[in-house]
Amino acid sequence: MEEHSDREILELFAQPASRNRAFNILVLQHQQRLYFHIRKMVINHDDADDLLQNVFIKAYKALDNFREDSKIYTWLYKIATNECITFLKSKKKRFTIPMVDVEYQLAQNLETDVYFSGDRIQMKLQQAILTLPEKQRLVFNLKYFEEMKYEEMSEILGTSVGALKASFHHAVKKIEEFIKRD
Amino acid sequence: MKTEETSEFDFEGMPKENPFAVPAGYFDRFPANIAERIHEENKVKPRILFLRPSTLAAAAVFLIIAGVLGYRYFTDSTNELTNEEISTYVYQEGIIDEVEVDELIENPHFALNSDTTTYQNSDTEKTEIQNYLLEEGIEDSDIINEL
Repeated sequence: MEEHSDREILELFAQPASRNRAFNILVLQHQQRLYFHIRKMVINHDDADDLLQNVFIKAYKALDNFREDSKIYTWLYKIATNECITFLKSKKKRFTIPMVDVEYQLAQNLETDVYFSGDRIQMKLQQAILTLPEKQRLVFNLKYFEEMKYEEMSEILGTSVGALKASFHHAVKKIEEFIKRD
Repeated sequence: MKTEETSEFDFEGMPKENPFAVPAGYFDRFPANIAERIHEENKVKPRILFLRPSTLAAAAVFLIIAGVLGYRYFTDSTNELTNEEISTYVYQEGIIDEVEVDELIENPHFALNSDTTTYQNSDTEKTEIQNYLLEEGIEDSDIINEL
């Protein structure tokens, strides 16, 4: 698929006749990366699907007011990250169980997930990641799997580059300990 | 590819590939699903006020009670007090004596217009006073002595 620049998409979106086509291009260009970003946080496919739809609905409603201070993709990541955090918080409230139990439950669900195609080592790594606090999980996933620059992560998560580096370092240490222990 | 930040951790054997899968054709269908949801959200939804049956029942009961009470209030003749009831009340409360109450009831116009200026300027009323004094056998000298 031909890649369109942010400017092209925004110009098409501004015209009523090409509005839907512009949004379709935007969805096609970003759906996969955003989906897997969300999926790594919520684990379950149906939850990831719901959240991804929410992300694009919000984006559609707000795209008219999008200022080109940032890239569309970092803006979409920001919306997706907020959706994940809100979802996990509401899940914790709904089950009235401590934070660690939700992550434990997610790790358990991973073992029976029909849409998990990883091998034993990948399962182990995902379980190790699920022992991390929410913010560290986000940082680790974005850095390790998506190889995102700290500057972009800083924009998405609203945290300084130094704090992100420290967070990633702690995450790596914890994963290492988890894997060595088991 | 190992980055500078991950070099301290031995990720050998740790794959970076995405281990999550999706149902077949998911990403092919997703843009159409989103387009449909946006279309639904853009439809103008009719604003109909739905009330729960319990709310409707409560409103009906309230209107019936208010109607009955209002009707009874405006049509009930027992709200009007009789002269006897008024005089008994005023007498018992010691506001005025029994005779005054009877006079008030019999001649409310006089009582309500008991302005002394009007009273003194009326020749008819002067004559009535004089007649009253004569009938009672009160002489002018008696009045002067009293003063």
